[in-house]
Amino acid sequence: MSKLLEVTDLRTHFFTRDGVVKAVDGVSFSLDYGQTLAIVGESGSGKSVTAMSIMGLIPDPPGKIVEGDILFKGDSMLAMEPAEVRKLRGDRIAMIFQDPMTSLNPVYRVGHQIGESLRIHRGMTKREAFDRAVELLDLVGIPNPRERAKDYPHQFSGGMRQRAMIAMALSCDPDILIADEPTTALDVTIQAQILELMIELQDRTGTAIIMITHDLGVVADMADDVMVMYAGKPVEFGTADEVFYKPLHPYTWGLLDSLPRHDVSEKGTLEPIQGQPPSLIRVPRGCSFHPRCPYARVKCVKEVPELVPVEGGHASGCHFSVDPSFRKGEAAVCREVV
Amino acid sequence: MFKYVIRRIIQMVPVFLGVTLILFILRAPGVLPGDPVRLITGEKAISETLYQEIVEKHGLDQPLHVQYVRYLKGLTEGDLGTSYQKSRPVSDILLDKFPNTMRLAAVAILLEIIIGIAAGIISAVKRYSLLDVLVTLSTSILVSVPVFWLGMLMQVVFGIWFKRWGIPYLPISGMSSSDFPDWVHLILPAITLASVSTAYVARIMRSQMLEVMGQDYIRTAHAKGLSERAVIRRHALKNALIPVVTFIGIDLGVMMSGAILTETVFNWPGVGLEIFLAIGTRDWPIVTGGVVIIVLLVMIINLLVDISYAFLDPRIRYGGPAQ
Repeated sequence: MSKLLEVTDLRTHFFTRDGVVKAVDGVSFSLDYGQTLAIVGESGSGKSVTAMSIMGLIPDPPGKIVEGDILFKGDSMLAMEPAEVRKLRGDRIAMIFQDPMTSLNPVYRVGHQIGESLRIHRGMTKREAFDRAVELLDLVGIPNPRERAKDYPHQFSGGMRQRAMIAMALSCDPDILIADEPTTALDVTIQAQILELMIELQDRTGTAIIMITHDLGVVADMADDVMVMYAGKPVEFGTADEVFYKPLHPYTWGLLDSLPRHDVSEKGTLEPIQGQPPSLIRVPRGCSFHPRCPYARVKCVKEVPELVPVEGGHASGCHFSVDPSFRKGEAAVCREVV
Repeated sequence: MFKYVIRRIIQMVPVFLGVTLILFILRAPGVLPGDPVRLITGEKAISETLYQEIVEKHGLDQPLHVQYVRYLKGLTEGDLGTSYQKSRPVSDILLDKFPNTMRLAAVAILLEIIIGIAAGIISAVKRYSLLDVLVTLSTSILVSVPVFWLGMLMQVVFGIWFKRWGIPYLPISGMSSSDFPDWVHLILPAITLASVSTAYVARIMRSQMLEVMGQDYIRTAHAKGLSERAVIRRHALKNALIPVVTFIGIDLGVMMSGAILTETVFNWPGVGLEIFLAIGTRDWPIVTGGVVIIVLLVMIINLLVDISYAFLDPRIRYGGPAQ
């Protein structure tokens, strides 16, 4: 049986006046029914563009999927007619976005917006869709759902709007839910509530989730697999335990070190990754992380590393990950290049 | 909502009084050229007794504030004064002409709304296409062309040259003639009157659509699986229309001044032409009476536009505390 979703060597480039932006440049992963994959990386690492490519929502021009394929239940989504992709979108594959304050249309009632997918994909009448929207609002924990469904988005708080977005995304019982930084714009207390809600709903509905975030803390409890992205490429792939406890790539080490942890308070300071993410028009030669990597050697400048399995399915895109002594906390800082 | 409307109507009173005061001062002796009595009687020599009679009849010997109160009192009774030249009540003269102006303005507004909004949407949806370039270019030209010049240009091209070349041509003057059905006479004046406004509406609509199409909720609508057409029609249009409605509301007042020029160029017997002719003959009661009517009209239209917001934009609710 084919996988629920399979992405192979996806390359999404944007052709701009300043040059070609290689926003996604060789991403592969697969997702099983009911599984949660977290895609982690800094801003501009290609996480969101990967998600938008799967949704078929890359603005063309300037964007284009130049290589690779996206298979949904074995069928290539890139080979489908736009109308067929549209039928999957919002029905089988749904998405929630980062900023719930602006992701709802201000001039329509919340219940109407939640019911809209049901009307297009399920052919429900206005009344049926509204009734179902009320049930969904109840499911995501909005009190007085029947009254609140008649409210406009500006009458909802940020956390409630994100709950409404989740209700909207789950309305057609999708196979895949793509969550693009769903908690980034929310208060910390609300963040935890929204994550709990997503975990709870996943248990109930069995939806597979692609969780996009720059916050490793967010994915720790949720993810089965984690893909770390840097400059449009995956640099590490493994189970959540592998990536958290036995990280292979120096970039992942940096991400983990820059995570605030309350259990190691005596250490006191956070270790940020030096430098800035590279321009995706002029990606550094060799390993794109080498200008910021404290372990960079001559080889890193000369050769582009491949993402290769190191232990079982745990893969790393670093030349030196195969060396068992090159591990977090053990590798000696020996920057050879300037 | 009801409270809001009442409050707005009460607010209209001082505005209206201010306008009438300015208009009244313009009519006062010595402000504008000409002795009112001489304007009434014309060039004929008249006797001193008749002169005094006219002064008394019109209250011209009273102090100014008394004259103003008398004028206001007249206004509340629908009395806009009497024309110097025609010796007819101004309200009767304007009532005769008003339907003609309304007919012209109504067609122009329809053109403005339909063509302006459609051109703006097409231009935004097909951004950088040939159509978009055409719309952007022609609207830039139209907003910078004076209305009366455009009117005369159209008269020359569609009236005179077309006739000369043997192509079906259009009437360029008046409201009716034996050669054409009445509605054909409307075509050129209505296009002229609508031109600048239509160009502005198209430009605002285009920029609003482009702005709205970049909003997050449009991405959400796409993610739901709506077709491009449905996204534009259901999600983008209503949001983009809000500022356009504001503009059209304000523009209705501007259109009234455009009507004076258009009616003059096309010899269209409306309020605008009447005001223009009255300025030439210094028939001040007609001028001020016409302006009073226009001011009232603009105030009422603005109120209606403000009320219509509440239906377009749910974030605006009048008359209650913020939620």
